[in-house]
Amino acid sequence: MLELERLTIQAGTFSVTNIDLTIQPGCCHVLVGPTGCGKTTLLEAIVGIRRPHSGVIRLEGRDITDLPIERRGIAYLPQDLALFPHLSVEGNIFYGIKQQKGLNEARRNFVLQLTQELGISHLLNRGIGNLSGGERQRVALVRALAPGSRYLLLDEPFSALHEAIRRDIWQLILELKRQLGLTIVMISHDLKEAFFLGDEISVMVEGKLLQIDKKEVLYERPKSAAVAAFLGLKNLFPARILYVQDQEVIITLQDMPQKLILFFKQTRDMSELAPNSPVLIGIRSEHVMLLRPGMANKHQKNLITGVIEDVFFQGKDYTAIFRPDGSFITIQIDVPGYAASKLSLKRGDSATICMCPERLFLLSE
Amino acid sequence: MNLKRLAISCAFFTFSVYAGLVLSIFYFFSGHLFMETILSERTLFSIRLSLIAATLATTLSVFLAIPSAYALSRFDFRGKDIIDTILEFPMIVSPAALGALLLIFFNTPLGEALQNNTLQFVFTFAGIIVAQFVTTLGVATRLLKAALDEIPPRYEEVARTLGASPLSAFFTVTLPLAKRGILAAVILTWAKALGEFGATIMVAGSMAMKTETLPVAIFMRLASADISGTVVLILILISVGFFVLYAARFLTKGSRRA
Repeated sequence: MLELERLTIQAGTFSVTNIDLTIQPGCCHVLVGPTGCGKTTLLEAIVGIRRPHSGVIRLEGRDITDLPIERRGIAYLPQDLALFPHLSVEGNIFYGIKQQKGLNEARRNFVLQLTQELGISHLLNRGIGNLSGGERQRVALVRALAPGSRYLLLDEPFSALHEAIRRDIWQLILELKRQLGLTIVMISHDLKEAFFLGDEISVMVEGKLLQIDKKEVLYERPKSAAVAAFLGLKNLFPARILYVQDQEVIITLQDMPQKLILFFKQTRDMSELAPNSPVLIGIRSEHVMLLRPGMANKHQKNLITGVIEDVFFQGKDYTAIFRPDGSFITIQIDVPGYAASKLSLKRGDSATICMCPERLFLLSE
Repeated sequence: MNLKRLAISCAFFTFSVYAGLVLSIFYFFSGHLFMETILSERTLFSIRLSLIAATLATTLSVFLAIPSAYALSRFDFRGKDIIDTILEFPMIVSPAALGALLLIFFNTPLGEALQNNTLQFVFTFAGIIVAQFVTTLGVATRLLKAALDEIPPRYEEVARTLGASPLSAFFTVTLPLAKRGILAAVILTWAKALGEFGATIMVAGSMAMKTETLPVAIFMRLASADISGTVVLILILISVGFFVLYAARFLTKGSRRA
C-alpha cells in the first residue's frame, strides 16, 4: 500500500498542497489534471526526485519520505523514457540487476522471459536508436520492472505513441499488472487512457486533489464544477433548489424565461441543500434520451420539449444540440449511430428529451 | 551589399587575418635550419617540458574541474553564482597578472610555509605546473560544465530508481554519455596549458634547459634576434594547436550526433 499523508511539495512559486492519498496494493491509480497542475511534481516526490516540504510518504507501512531514490524500490517510467543511449537494449534492461551486486540467475531468467512475453527478445543486441516507438516503450517497461519492484510509477510515457500502438501497450500494462501483482500510479492527460487503465482516478487542479474516486463514480458523479469541466462535461447548468422531498430534490433551472422543473434522485446525503440554495445541475450527454415523436410517456419525469439546433456526425456516433422551448440554454446529446438513423435527426426538428432523475447530479456552487 | 554577403565577407576576413599571420612566417623559413633547430637538445627539452607540464597541469585541473563542473551543472547551492562568475577570472585577468598574483602569494607567510613544507614553486618545474593549473582551471571547469549540461539529469534519476547510488549513476551513465564533450574539454584545456606564457614566465622564470617551455623558448629566441629559430618553434606550436583543435571539433560534433 502506498500512502501519502498531508504531503506538500514546493516547486518554485508553485506548490502541490496537502495531498492525502491511499493506493491499495494491486490497484492502478491514475492521476489526471490539466497541464501544469502538479501531477509530475507529485510523482517525482513519490519517486524521491523532489523533496517534499512537509508530509509523509509510506510504502507498505514504511516511512520513505527521506529515503534516497535508490532505496525506495519504486520503478519509474518518465515521459521521455530516458533509455540510456550509450547502452544496448540488453545493457539497458540489465542495468538495474547489475546494480544489485551480483547477477541473480533466477532474476535474469525472469527478465529474459519478460522480454519474450513482450516480444522484444530479438532486440537485445540492438542500439536504442534503432527501435520503434512501441519497442522503446517495451524496453523501458522491462528495464523498470527488472529489479523486481512491485510499485510502478508512469509519467505519461505513452503520450507520444500512435493510438493503435497505445491500445496495445495499455493491454500489456494491464496484463503485467495482473501477472506481477503490480501497484501502478500513473499520470495521464488522456481521459480515455485514464478510464481504460485506472481502477481509481484522482483529479488534480492547481496543486490540489479535487476528487479521488473509483472511475465509475468519478465518471457519473463529479463532485465539483472544476472536476466536471476537466472531465469534459458539457451539460452543466445553474439551478435553484425548490424543495427537498423524500428521495427527490425538485429544482428549477435558471436562465430560462419559463420555470423548468426537474426531479433529481438523491444518491447521497442532501441535508445541506436548503430550499432556494443555488446549485449546478449536470448530466452526461450520453445519458440524455432523445425520444422519437409520440414515444414520450406521461409517467416519465424531466421531459423537455424543444428544437434540434444542430447535428454533428462524430464517426460512429452523432451529437445533437437541443434547445428547450423558450430557453437560452442548449443541451448536448450523444446519439448512437444506429439510433440517429432511426430517428432521422435533422436540424430544426421538434423533439422531446428525457433527463432521467437517476442520471442527474448536483454540485454545490 | 546584402547582409549575407557582408557576414560571409567578415568571416573570410577573420580567416585571412590568421592565415596571413601563419603564412608570413614562411618568409623567414629555412628547411636546413628547421631540422637543425628541431633536433637541437634545447628545443627537444622545451618540447618535452611543455608536453609533460601541460599534461600534468591538465590532469590536475580536470580532476578538480569535473566535480566542480558537476556541482555547478546539477545542484543549486549558496554561492553558486559567485563560483560560476569567478571561473572567468583567469580570462579577465591577464596571465601575467595571474602569475604575479601567484608570486605575491608565495611571498606571504602562508605561501612561504607551503613552499618550505612541500615543494619549491618559484623558478622551478613545479612552478610551471602551478602557473598552468591556475590559468586553465577556470576554463576547464567552464568547458566541462557545458559538456555535463548537455546530459539531462533525468538519466541519472532513472538510473537511481534502478538501484544505482549517486556515484554509480555518475560513473555508469553521466560520464559515458558526456565522454566526447569531456574529451573535447580536456583537449582544449591541454592546448591552453601548452600555449601558456604569461603566468609561467612570472612564476618559473625563463631559465634555459630548466623552465624553458615552448612559448618561453619562442620569447627567448626572439629576444636574442634568432628569427629563424623562433619560426621553427612557432611552427611546432601551430602544428600541435591545429591537431588539437581538429580533434576537439571532431569530438564535439560527435557528441552532438549521439
